[in-house]
Amino acid sequence: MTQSPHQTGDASALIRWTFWNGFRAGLPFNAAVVPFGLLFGVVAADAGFDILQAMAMSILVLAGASSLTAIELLTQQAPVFIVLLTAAAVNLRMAMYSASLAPHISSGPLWQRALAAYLMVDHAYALSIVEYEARPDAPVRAKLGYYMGVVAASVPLWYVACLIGAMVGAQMPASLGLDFAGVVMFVSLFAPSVRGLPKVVAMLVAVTGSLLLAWIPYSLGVLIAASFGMIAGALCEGALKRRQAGSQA
Amino acid sequence: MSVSNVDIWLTIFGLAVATFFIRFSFIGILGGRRMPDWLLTALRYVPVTILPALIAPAILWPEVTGGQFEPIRASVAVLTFAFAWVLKSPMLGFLGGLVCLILLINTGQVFGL
Repeated sequence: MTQSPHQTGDASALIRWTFWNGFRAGLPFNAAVVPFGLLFGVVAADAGFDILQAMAMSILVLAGASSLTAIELLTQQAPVFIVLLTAAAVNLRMAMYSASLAPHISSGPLWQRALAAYLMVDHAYALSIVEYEARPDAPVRAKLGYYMGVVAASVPLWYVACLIGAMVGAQMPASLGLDFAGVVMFVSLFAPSVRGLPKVVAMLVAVTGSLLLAWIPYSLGVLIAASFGMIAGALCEGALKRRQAGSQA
Repeated sequence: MSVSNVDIWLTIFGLAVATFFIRFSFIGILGGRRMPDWLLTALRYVPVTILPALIAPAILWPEVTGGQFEPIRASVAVLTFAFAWVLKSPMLGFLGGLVCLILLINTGQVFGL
């Protein structure tokens, strides 16, 4: 199938075409899904989750970084309320994805939008928004088809990787240093985004704050330090913009 | 290390509901409404603040040593940051970091570190 059915007017052919387009675009990202899923399963098992609990979290939450955040805080004996607040904060970026996707898909059927919400992982957003901006006039069903295609392989693969991780987790030898694998994952998740002075400032303030506030009970220092970091980053960004505007005037 | 079953289930269901509504917010409920600029700016800083704040204490004072600074784990964290930053890839950074972790921990044990 080399010709785009965007012009022929055959709606179901168009949806199939966009679905498989999305599927192909999503394939390279599956290489990242497997190691992260395995790690999630191993860390969950290590923290005392049984297989049912690990799979319930993997399937119902479907967000690796915030699930690992929750597990990390639970093992630090933080109260559930703080665990939820901090782990949900890790997912706040998805409100940004949702706002950015809304003009393209919010006229679609409710059940499909609910399904799209459940499946809103980072690469589903990143690939779909590029496709929507390239073909803004495509019908909403075709846009949703692309989105579903992107995650069609990734999500089942995520479940399977988590299951395998949770099953082997308890048998992993200590020489693999898996107590620290979660930290390695968090570092690699945020490090590529630390570009430009405001992001560097935000990170340094958050890290310094969290070390200074580590004495605050219930791991509440993490959220407070992160808020300081966000404010510092935003202020730095504003100051840089003003200086740029000033030097141009 | 032991976490109560009740806490685990409350966390699973609570986080599932909260995450769904964050994702559903604009495509399901708020429609095409725009977010205020200050909120958009703040949200762009979420990944580079919450995740570093969460793990900074675990890097300097790891749990396995009972909170004692430990050069192997700290070096692995720094190397992982460098890999992921230079290669601009979370996955390559993660795999590189894991290899360093396994290599350094095992050579460290050989030399009695």
